[in-house]
Amino acid sequence: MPRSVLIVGAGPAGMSAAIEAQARSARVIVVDEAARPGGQIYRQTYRPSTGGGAIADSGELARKERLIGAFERLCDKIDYRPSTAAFALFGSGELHVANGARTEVLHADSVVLTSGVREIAIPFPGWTTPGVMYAGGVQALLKAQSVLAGRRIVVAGAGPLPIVVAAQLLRAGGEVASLATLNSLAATARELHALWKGRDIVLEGLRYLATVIRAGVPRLSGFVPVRVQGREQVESVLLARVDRDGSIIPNTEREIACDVVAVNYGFASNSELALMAGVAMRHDQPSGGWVPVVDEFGRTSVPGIFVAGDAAGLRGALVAEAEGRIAGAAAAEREEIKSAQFRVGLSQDLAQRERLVAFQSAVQSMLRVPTGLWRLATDDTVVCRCENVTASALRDAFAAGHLTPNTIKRVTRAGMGWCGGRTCLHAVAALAELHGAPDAGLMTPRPLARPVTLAALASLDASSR
Amino acid sequence: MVWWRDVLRRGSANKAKATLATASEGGFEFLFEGRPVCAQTGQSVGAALLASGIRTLRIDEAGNKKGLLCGIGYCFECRCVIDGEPDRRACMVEARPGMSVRRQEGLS
Repeated sequence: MPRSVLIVGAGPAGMSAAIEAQARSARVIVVDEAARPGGQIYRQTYRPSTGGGAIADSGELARKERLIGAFERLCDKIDYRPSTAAFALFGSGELHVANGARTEVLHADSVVLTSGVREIAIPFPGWTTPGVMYAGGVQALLKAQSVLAGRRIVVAGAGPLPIVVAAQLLRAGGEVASLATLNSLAATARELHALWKGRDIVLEGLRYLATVIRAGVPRLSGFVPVRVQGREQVESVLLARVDRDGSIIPNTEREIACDVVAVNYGFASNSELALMAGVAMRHDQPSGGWVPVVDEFGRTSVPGIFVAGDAAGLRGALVAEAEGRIAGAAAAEREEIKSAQFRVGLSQDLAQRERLVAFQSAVQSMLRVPTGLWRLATDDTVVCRCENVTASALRDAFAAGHLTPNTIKRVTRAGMGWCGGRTCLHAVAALAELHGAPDAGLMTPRPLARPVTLAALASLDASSR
Repeated sequence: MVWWRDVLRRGSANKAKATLATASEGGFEFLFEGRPVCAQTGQSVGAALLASGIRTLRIDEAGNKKGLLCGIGYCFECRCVIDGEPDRRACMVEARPGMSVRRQEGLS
């Protein structure tokens, strides 16, 4: 009896889940917001013949081509729906999706969420000025569009992404005015045992770092962007050294002329759908904030709902691929999971994940941001960009006793705008915690997880329910 | 350590291979605020505008200038008016010949 498996996302985890579930004779549906498979890490260029390709590391490119090739060969055997946004999921496994002006309700025996992560930034004065972008956004423009975001770019933040983006900009012929990183690489290098387990990826990272070093890009370790100058667009950025608590060390500011500031302080799990379906969550800031609790097969607290890849905690594309296969298999053969044979069949993927998770936790140590950095937002700094809610408006709400995300949202409108809080919620929670919120907790997620027009909702065919 | 030298070599060797699209090859034009802008087939409106040095895509309800932030569709900062329809994301909409794009001001 073939099962039906519904997969949300077509990045490394989603593609491998689809391949594995289909190989086990499941009927597979894949919904993905992008027009082409690949997700963010394996984002495809709009013209495969030029650009994009040569800027990424050869190891990453080989993995990307192999996986996307395998998924594309599968596409006539599964129901693949690109440019389709999933905007509601219920515990029964009922998934609501929108494609342009049409919405539809999908049902399946199992749902595998592989919705990945989004970038986070720490608000600072001037960060809404055109020209301040997420570093991954700058990378996406380069990978998918072959466009350099600016003529002189400052890359800043924490973790490995700023280094990768700086190197890729250089390889594409761009000018990187400065690379400012919160932590030194030495802090990570101390965990040599864990790094050895991920030595292939470490080598890729070193090649990116070598590009930056050879280009002579000024590297500022322990520096963060503290203010952007320029009214119409970015004209320069002030970088300053911060101490272990994240406070600015006086007289360390340096002004760097640039037209783009690319920032990344890590990632937040796209866990809205899991939360909406009632999945139990855990909090772990460096691995993505609030992330779904999963077992070794990707099973959540809600029967039939699985989560795989970065959405279940940031661990990179290789873990996502292994986990996608494990969850795809488990979703296709739910009652077989207990059998020893099932486990033996997946032993390679289970071992691969085990090995890389140790490595990724060493990388995650780079993403522990000191709480003081959230004080970079001055009173007039906008925190919620959609609704223009400033840090002082939030602080007033905290002072009046509103310290949980639900009440902060009701009182200030932070998180109520177009992006659904995906840009500001982590910042609102962090600021609330600075003001003594014991545990800011979670905002109750409600449909719609994506903006959908009333006309599209009204288009729902009664027969599809 | 031989591999270290290999790492350095490979880190720099890639640079020559990277090619960026230029406005001259196989492009077309669309309108931004009534003025022609070059784009490549398949390119997003936001990417084409950025390649032409245009960063402000929206003036929000409070009068703040806004441009691309996430570049992949989730932040909704780059909403502009495309062929008369407001709230289209410049980073997600593919540029087409003859398209008319305007800055979004306030709610429309």
